[in-house]
Amino acid sequence: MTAAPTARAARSPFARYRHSLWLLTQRDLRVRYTTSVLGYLWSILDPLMMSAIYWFVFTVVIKRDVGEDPYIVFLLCGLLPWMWFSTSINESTRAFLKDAKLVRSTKLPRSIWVLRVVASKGIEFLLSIPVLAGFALAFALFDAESDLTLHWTALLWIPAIILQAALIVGLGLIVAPIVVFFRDLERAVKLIMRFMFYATPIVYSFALLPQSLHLLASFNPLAGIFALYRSAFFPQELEWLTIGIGAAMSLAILGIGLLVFKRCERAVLKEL
Amino acid sequence: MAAVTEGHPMIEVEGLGISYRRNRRGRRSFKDLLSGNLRRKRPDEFWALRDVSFTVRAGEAIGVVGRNGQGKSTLLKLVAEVQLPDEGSVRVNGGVAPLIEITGGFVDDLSVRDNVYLTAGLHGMSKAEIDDAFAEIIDFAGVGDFVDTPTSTSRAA
Repeated sequence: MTAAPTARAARSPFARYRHSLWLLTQRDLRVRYTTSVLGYLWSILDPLMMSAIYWFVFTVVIKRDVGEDPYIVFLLCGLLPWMWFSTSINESTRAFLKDAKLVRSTKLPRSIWVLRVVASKGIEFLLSIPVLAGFALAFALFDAESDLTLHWTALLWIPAIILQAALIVGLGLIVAPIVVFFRDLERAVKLIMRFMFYATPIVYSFALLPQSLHLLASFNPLAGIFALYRSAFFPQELEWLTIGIGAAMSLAILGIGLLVFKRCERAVLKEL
Repeated sequence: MAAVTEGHPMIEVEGLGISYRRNRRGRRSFKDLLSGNLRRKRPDEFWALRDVSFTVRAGEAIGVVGRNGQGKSTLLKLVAEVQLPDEGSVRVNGGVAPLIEITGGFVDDLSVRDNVYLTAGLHGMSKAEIDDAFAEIIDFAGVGDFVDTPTSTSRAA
């Protein structure tokens, strides 16, 4: 490693951070896609399976309108980003423990261990979007009864993705260090995620919640974020108050996350 | 290192201190974790190092001597910036490669080659530098024929 120091000094800390983040994200994706034969299929099989179940329950068995029509498109608009959210949070509980040896032997800014989770799960999310596009296209082309169209609001996917990333990073920065001290939080998080799945408008529409719960439900930042995603096909889902509260909540959580992380960083390193 | 002349300070350590908990398995409260006041030490904490100051200049070789558990590796970790001090500061000009636990982070599912590129990359080497050093690294590790097999199997072999 004799030649290393010169180049190391030449690269700015930010560029180095980005480079390392990219290396770790690549590693995660490579591990995920080379160790199983189905690889990519696995990341889309899970949401497909879940959508099939909910589609069957709500449109074939119960025959009740819980969302917009076509239901499968409505569902996937919430389910795919939900997968990004839940898998990232679940995995950030192990962000430090899983890579403990690397954390102990590198001087990278410690937040990278949370960001790599969000980044690699985010890329998996982006890779799963073709599934949604495929269903939407199929309905638009082959189903004469449906008038599914893509609206200008599809552009709102960009702020939606940014807000969701901020939210996940914020929560990850809170969860990851605290789990190092309280290991049973790992299980608690799994439980909370299961609750959140039903507390968030994923299988149903926000509008179907009782009016009295609307304000309360808006404080779940995912409600606003998913409304943004859904507005691409269903502009009536745009609830600006919910979105506004969701955006503010996401940024606040990111702020709290940065603060908590900064405070815990030293203690985490000692504990690993 | 081009611009470094003999006698230029390379590592500057000032008033360094780090404290640990005596009982790692002990109870811990959220309040402990979030209290920013680091001077107020609870009785179950002790200072592993305190008020350590020194400067290492270019061209100097330094040895650290001490008994087991007196904080030699802790000092090294602090200088390598893989641990953060509770007090004082460490300034390093140029690169420091910690040789403690350096092989720790290998992923069993990836090939030896991927692991070398990953770990060296995380330590700040660019791809070109790793390309140049790769043969030497593999030779040093003595795993010549196994660079493209998963790390778990080449370890067994």
